[in-house]
Amino acid sequence: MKRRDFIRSAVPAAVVLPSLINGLTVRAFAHAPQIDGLSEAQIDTDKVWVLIQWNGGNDGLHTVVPIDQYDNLANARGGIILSENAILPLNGSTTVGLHPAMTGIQQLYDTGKICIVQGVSYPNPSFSHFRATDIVSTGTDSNISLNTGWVGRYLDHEFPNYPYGYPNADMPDPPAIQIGVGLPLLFQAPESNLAMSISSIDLFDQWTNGNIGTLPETPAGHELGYLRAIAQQTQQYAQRIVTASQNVTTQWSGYPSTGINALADQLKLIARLIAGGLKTRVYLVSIGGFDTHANQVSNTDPNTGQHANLLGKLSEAIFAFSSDLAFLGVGERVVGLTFSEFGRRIKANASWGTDHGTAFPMLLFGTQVQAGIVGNNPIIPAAATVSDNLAIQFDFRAVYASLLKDWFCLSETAVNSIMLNTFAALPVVQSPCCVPVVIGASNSCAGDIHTYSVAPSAGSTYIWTVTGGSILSGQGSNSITVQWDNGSEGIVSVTQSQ
Amino acid sequence: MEWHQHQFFIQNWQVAAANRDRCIEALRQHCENTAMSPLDPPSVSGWPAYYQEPLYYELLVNADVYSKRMELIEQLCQGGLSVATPYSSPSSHLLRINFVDFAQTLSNPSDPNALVEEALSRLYAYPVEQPFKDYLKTFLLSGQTADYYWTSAWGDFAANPSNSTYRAIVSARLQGMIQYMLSQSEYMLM
Repeated sequence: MKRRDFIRSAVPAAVVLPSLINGLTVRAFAHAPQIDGLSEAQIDTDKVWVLIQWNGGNDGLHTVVPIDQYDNLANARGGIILSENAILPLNGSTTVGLHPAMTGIQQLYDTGKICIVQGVSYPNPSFSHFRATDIVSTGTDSNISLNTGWVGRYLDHEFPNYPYGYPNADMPDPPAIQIGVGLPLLFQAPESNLAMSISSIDLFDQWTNGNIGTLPETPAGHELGYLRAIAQQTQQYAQRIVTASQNVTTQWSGYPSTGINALADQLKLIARLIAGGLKTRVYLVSIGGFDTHANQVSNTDPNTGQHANLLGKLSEAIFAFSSDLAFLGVGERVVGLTFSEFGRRIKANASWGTDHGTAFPMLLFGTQVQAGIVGNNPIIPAAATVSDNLAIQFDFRAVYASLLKDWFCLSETAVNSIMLNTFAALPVVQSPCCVPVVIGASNSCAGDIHTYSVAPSAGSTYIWTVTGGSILSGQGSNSITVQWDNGSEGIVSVTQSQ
Repeated sequence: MEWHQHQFFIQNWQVAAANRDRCIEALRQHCENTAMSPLDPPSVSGWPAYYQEPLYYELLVNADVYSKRMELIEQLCQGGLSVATPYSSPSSHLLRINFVDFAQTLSNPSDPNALVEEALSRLYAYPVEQPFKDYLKTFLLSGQTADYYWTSAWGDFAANPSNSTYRAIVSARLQGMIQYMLSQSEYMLM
């Protein structure tokens, strides 16, 4: 039975009853109270994460190229191998190069804004796109299915009970925003999904201009317009987002023209939202088409073709975005992380392409990443066979865990509970990122009392040292009161430990 | 709403008979909160007529009602609508939409285009344009570029319906698509 037929046979009271959905069966489960999140205080931060997902499984060997093993790679890759002299060199490395299309990434690397993590995968990797995407989104072992995402668990830890009680004064904005393709699992928490989805930049433009989009030529076109207007009123975040974007009037001028590079268009909007004051922590954008089983390269020039076009767009978009963040003065607040569901085989196939593989290089970008390369070049056998895969060097969850700990400054206990296990931290972010900043008056008259504090972090103790004054109260906590002496200079310092 | 219509839905719930009334009552309360109380129109003359000035039938939806409906949709799709059932054990139920069950009632769920078309014809009263359909399909393909990615995932599940991993893969993608559909203004048109 069609829904409208069902409605026709019902009394008018049923007309817009969203809970009664023909064919959508509702199943009841015995209610198990969710495990309560850790009662750690929300960490006040202006740091932002931008995740770029490369859908399809990127060919890591033709992205971050092991030039010290070029001959073995050429042997395995046959006609699709990149020309040795076209591979882009990296400052300070004689063994690692980049695909010729990635000039923007090369420039960022050479100026200390890229961290490459080699050989990222997980034990018993899946070769299925959907399953592998779910694994990297949920952060689970490959033999376990989970229905929450690791970013969702992080945000749930920071913004418990979302969406109830939100937006509020501390968090007036959506915790996460994803633009483009709908990939819900990453932001899924036990009780809700913490990402606001902007299906396209067109929708954003509709909010900005207050229009309601094109209405279809159906008998209900007018009614749809009315409903969309109501929806805009109730979309509590739309106005915040529009205001943030309008706070920024000039952006870096080197972006490609709108409509040429969709990823660049989306990152340009994100740069505007970050600089415009949105408190959103995590953004997700994605670029598809990396499943290059066939025609990965052009059959006339292996340095061009499908894969080169994708890497070129990616590189151009990340370079423009990074330049814009610097232009807008917010580069220090942003770390970017790119990931794919898996890498590809060492050996090329017979269709000018490569098949599903395992480990892949992960690129992190931003002024606060620990620039350089973590890990070693993969080992390419002299005569690779179709079943040869790259060895795993780092678990993908170790990268996520390192970012949670060293970028978002979470305690180890919290990180372990979010990542569901313990992973050794990797040096992907510069170490001073989590050093506390003391806030308080910098001028005082003799005898005055002032308060000095650092952002609280649960489980931490704080040892304060004051010269030129005395601590009246608060030693051990994140906030002290100090009475200053009659000297010309006083110093407040604090050591935070867990 | 006629009570036998409620019964139509309740039949598919795995709820102990003793608890069904509570679940029905919970949904009835939500209807009341969204200005659609079953068997209880707002005035003795019934629902505001389409010719009633100045808003005509648009009176039936306002910002308050709209946001409550969105909240209910979020609950039914996400963590579940909790219903206390004190008469028997367990003491409460979570009502959630079963997305895989829904897809299994469609004629050709392995074809993402057919799935989108049929879900639209079930849930939407008026046709939508192609870009809207394309966007719905991106949930099923989760960023991949060809239809066979979904077809193969559905095929794995259909061949092994008791495999929880295969079920989780299709369920997560259907959940994204259906919650999106239910959250659009188009869904409120009847």
